[in-house]
Amino acid sequence: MESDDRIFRRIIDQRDRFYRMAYSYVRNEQDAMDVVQEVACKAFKHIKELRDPEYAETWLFRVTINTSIDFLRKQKHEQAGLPEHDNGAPDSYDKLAVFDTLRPLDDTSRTIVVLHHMEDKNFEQISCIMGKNVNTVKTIYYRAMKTLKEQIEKEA
Amino acid sequence: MADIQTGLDKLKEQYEGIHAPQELEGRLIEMESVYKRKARFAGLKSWGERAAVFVCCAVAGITLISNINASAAEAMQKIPIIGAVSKVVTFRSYKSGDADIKTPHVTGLGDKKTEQKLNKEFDKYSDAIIAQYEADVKDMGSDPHVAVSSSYKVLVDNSSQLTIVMNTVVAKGDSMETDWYYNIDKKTGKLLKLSDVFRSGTDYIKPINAYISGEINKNPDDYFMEDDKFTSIASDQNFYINKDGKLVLVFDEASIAPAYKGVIEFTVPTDIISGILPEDGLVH
Repeated sequence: MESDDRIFRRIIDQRDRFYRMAYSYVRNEQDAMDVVQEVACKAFKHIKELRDPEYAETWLFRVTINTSIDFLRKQKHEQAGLPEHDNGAPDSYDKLAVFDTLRPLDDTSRTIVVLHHMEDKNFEQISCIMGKNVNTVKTIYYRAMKTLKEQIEKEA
Repeated sequence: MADIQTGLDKLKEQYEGIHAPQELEGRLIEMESVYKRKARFAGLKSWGERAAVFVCCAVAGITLISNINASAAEAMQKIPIIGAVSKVVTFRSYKSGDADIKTPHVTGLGDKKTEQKLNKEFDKYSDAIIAQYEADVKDMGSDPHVAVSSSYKVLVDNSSQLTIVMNTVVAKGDSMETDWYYNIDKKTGKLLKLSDVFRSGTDYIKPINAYISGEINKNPDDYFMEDDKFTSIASDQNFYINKDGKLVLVFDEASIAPAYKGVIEFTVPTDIISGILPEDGLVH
């Protein structure tokens, strides 16, 4: 078990991991930082529930994903009726091939692939993070891998 | 398949090459320092609870009966009266290292016995805090990092009511704040327990719980929703009656909401408890 302030230290030490996950949704630096800050703020409010390190990590990823989705939803809502324009200035990370390669995948599929391959989570853990049945996670994963294989071959 | 594995390895390498801007670390460190200023850390919780429980037990059994003016009391069907000219003064000021602990004493209540009893409670409260501070300093050796500040404030002092709050802040890395209220009904000479605010035998817990739950549900993100979720007030919940005669329920820091929210208060609208209040009570 961790003391209350350890969880906060964890967020700071591992901020890159939560930032990357947020970035995969919002696609610009400022918004991704805002999401991680919001996650830290939510962790404040639930600090007592986050003393178990394993649960804390699951919780932090889940909240990062949900906060990113909420952020995009809110952004979409705010922009309804306005002339079409870019959602925040794209920055240098867009040049990184990882997001280009993952682009054919929808948000859920991409997140499952990221959690499995980049964050080394097993299907059970992904199921907890995403609040989806394990079999559903597996189905989405295998379908995503098929798409990703085609994309990688295309790029090669 | 070798191709996809190579492709995935490359993706992972690229993904891990993404780093958050330096600015994020600064933002999070700032949030952490705010948290550290406000949060109660594990060791402190038992300290504060010990103090609170101590005070709670100490005052629970006390009824202050003032009989300064025996003839007036008799004239008023033997209802004891506490003098309206009560004064609250700093009786003792303990300063040592990073401790500053002020102990109030009440004078002019009229009945010396009542006065002594109440003042003894204030002494006990401070003694407990001083003893804990000295024990902490001793435990921490040559570099003690504990600071304690305890003082009082007269919240209400009118012809019918005297309310004093003891505010104590203990900082050991993080800090914890406790407010403890003493409400004295000058008409009856009683140091009030929460149940004394209501007509004898009435259920005051249910309507207050319903009100507080309703308030929490309006802003659930501000409160604990799993462990430590609010379920009910204690029958002897910390409380005070404000200068407008409204009942205010007080919850210790980190008891029903995150520590950074501080001490939590709910002012109960009188209309939801009006049916169980005595006609001549302090709450209106």
